[in-house]
Amino acid sequence: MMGIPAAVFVVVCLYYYVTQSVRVGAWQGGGSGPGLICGIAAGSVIVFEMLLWPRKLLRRLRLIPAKYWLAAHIWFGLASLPLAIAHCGFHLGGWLPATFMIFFVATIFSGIYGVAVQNLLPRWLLRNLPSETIYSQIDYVSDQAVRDAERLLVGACGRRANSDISIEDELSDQLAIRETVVVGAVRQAGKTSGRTLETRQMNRAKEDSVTLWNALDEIRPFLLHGKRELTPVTDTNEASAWFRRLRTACSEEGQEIIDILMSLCNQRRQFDIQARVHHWLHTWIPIHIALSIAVTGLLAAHVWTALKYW
Amino acid sequence: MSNVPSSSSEPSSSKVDFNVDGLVASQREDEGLFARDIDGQLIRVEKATATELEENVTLTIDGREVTVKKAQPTRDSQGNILRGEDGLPIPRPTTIYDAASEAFVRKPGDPHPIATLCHKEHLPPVGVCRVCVVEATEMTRRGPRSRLVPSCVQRVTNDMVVSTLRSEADPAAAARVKTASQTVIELLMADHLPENQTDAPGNELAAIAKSMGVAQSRFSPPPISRGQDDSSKMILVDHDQCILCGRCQRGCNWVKENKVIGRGEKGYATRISFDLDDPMGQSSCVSCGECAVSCPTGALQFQPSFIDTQLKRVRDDMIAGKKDGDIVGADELIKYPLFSGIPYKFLQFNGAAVVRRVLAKDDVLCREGEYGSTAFIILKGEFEIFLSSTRGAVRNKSVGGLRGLFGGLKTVVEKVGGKARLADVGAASLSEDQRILRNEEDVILGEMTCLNRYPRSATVVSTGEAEVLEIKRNVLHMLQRNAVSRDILDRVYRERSLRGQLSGLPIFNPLDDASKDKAAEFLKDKADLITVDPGQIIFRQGENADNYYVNRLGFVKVTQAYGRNERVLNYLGPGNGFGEIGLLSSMGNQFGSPVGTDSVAGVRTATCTALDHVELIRIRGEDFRELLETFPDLRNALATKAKEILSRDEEARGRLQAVEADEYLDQGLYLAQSLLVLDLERCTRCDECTKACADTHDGVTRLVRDGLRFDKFLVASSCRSCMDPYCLVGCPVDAIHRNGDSLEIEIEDYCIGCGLCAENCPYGNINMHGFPKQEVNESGKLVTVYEELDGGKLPVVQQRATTCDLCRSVDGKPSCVYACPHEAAFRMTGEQLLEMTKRTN
Repeated sequence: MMGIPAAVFVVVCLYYYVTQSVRVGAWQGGGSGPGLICGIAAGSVIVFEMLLWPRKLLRRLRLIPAKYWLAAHIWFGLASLPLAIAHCGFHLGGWLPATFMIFFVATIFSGIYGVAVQNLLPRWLLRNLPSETIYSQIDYVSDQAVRDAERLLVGACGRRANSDISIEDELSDQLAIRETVVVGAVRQAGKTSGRTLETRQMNRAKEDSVTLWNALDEIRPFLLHGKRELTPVTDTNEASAWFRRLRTACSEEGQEIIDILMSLCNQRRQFDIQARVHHWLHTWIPIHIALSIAVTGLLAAHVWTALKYW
Repeated sequence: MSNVPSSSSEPSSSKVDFNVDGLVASQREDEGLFARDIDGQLIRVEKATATELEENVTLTIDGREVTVKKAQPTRDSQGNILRGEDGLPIPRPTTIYDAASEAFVRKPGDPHPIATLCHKEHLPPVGVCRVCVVEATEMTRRGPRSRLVPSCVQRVTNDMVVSTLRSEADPAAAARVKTASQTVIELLMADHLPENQTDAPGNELAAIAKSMGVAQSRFSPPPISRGQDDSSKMILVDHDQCILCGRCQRGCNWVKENKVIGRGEKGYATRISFDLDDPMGQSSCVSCGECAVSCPTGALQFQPSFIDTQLKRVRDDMIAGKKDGDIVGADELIKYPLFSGIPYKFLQFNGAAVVRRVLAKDDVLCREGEYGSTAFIILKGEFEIFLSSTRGAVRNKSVGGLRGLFGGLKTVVEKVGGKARLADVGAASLSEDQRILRNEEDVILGEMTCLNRYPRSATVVSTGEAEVLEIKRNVLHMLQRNAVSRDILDRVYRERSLRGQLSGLPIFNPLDDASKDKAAEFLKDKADLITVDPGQIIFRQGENADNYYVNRLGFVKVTQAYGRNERVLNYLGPGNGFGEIGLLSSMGNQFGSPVGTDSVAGVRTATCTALDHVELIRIRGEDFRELLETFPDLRNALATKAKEILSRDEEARGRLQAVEADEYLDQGLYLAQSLLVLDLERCTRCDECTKACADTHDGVTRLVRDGLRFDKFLVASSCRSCMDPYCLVGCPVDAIHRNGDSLEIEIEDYCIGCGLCAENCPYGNINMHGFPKQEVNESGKLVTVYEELDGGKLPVVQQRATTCDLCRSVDGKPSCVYACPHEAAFRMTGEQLLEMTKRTN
């Protein structure tokens, strides 16, 4: 929607600049009338672009929906580059304008990169990471997953021998055993997928108690901290082999629990990938902002020197 | 020694077949009356059977012959019938107290001949206080046998003769009963009624003593004091006044299922305890107030500062909302017969729940299509009811012009087109001679929206000077606990639900207006209203077709078993009729040619199950057939529709689901009117929506960017503005409601943080957050309450429920959608989401 006004804006400015340049037979510089108009237009756009920042900070105030701001930010930002080039008459000039232009181009390209990743990566996330959760909540969800696994084992195998049990633990054990186990699981049903709560009545697997508790001890660091921890399930291939061995060591009743432990490991693996993708999605923003601030500073310096030495 | 409220000492609704009302099964006959301690209670009642629900028993109470059923359906505290796994009502024995209620209490305010302390009719009886003692005479093999029995747990038998302390038929028996009751009262007074409480309003022990003429106890006070507990900011506990009747325990554990109150210590030191005998303020008590409301003495009382603060908040709310009317206090309300069954402490707790409104001629009391959380008790005057022919649906729409271009939204009421909604059924226009007028004989107006949580179904205008008491939903909730007022509400609700709606039934659409009126007239005394609980099966595939149904409220799932699969054929919203196929097929060949293999004459072709609370208009099979024979156009139209349905089902047989809506139904999305949906292909996970929500609501977000995925859409955890919001049910102070013509659920500042709404929301979209507690100071201003902690001064934190208000508190434009820079956040109905997922595949 903002593409058309931005295109009209840049075409009008450039048309004026080009016709004036053709009339005098040379590309006009920044000090000329057409060049100055293009410069003022580009400078105004830079100031406008920076307004997105306070707009985002002042979310509570209804200062036009953010989608229009972002669209204008992108399209007018792109439009400002040809205007800036026209302003400098296709010359870099002294060190200040040259530095300014380099930073400006870098800012524009960091923004283009941002637009690209923000259009591509969400689709990739959607298709490849069904367990995706809120990035800031990964640690919490991982911690919850370990608690779920422990409840699952308490319900199916009972507490491990010689563990200290408080009254509260006893009560929760009774609940875990008597009732169903709630598992936050990824479900796929037809076109639907996502994390929903499932309740399951677990099989009793008393005879696998020691094996399964030991298994959980081994994978707990991975479930909590992901690939930073070296465990038998950190590597995907090794994990398959490890779970195969675990399956052979357990009875038929224990297989269902192993399925859930596997899905929890898979979920944690997806969280690791999500964290990486999240960085790709968002780490360009500080760079873009830093460059933008530098460009704004250089713009101010450029205006000041231009006015001083005109 | 203290103990926790164990499952064995609490009646639990989940174990309805065993002890739901405390009337525990006992097959042994010959033990003494107080010989057995079952389930922690001294009671002796035989188990009732289903056949006894139909058996009559005739007995005489105070010389008046009464015929009652031998057993009654067990009900929960709100009077809803509890059903077993087979779907049939769970029977409980009819007690003498029940029979006396039926015989002597016909309307609100009628005095009950039997006084009670430990028993309230919405609670399971436990028979511990013995104040309700009566003399019951029964015929035995050895002749008549008279005994003093507790009427609240003693079941009725044929030819039983009962004398209460007010019996004029047998003064000698009445004297014996009175002596026994007075002795019990005196004993209780000696131990638990301090002098300053003898005239305290709401103290039932003092009131009963007064009514029996007991001014002073002959017995000496107890040797020890059990102490006080003022740790709660809301409720003051005076253990010395506690008579251990267990009403608070049952209120907490059975009515609210909070399971906090148990018993501690023993002997004279026995008292109620919270959790593991913690001080109340440090226990897991959620401060719902049910225990104090239940308490018949001064043992559990609301802190005066709490009452003052609640009143101040409600008054401020009224001023801010420019609502007119005068608050009617508990002392005045209790004098109205209708409110006499409501505990005084409840009216005190909800000090501003009733407002007196005076209306002039043509003043509008309430408007059709608006959400409301209040009903009106008519004190004076007459009102006219208007049902318009077009009912509205409330939606958020883009505004036009420049503001619309920039994403401006507005909430509008628009006519519903082609969609099955309550609106379609509610449509009924009345001619001049059919004007509906109501006056004080009709008792109440506007109760339907409180009971079914749907928008108001009519506009009510005063025809002259009038006066009403506007009562909040929670007061109505309390009225439902009392059988007499519940009967009034029930009768009024049923009558009004049917009246004016029959001619607007969608099945009559093929008829002209005159025929519609005739058909409605035909059904006037034949159709009835039935309610179905969530998950309850209305009829099963293969059963004989007996009735035709029109869905009035709620949603019905239609499924069909085919081989080993069960597929969802359809789900039916309000306005849809069903059950015609089986009935039509029993009337000979109505379809012209055989259709599919589903139709067997007179047999159901599918199973219909209620997805939520459903209200159905039921037309019995024979009446339905007669209707179709009288109106052939109707028969032809229904036959055509039935044929279409059967053909569609036949075609869809190859697919597993005729409606690809399994999750859609399971997740209750069909009820959603304003889902927050994120397009995950566009969403960059920047969390601007969450940040905007938090910024708009004092730093606390009301949405969580996670939830179920539908195709590429994420249904974020944020209030869905359900058509039938379960969260509104049971709020003790009516702090959560929906008003006006907008969709949002409002939670007022006077929320007490009990968490019931959060628990009721099946989708986890209401959260509890801590806010600094405020109280009214001496100058009547709200100030934050601080406490000394580790040498510092910190504000006391009070939990309060929060949920998405669609940013109504700001300007009605949802911040989440407004702040999304990537055009990935949308608000839409469940139906629109389903349509979108279908389009994208």
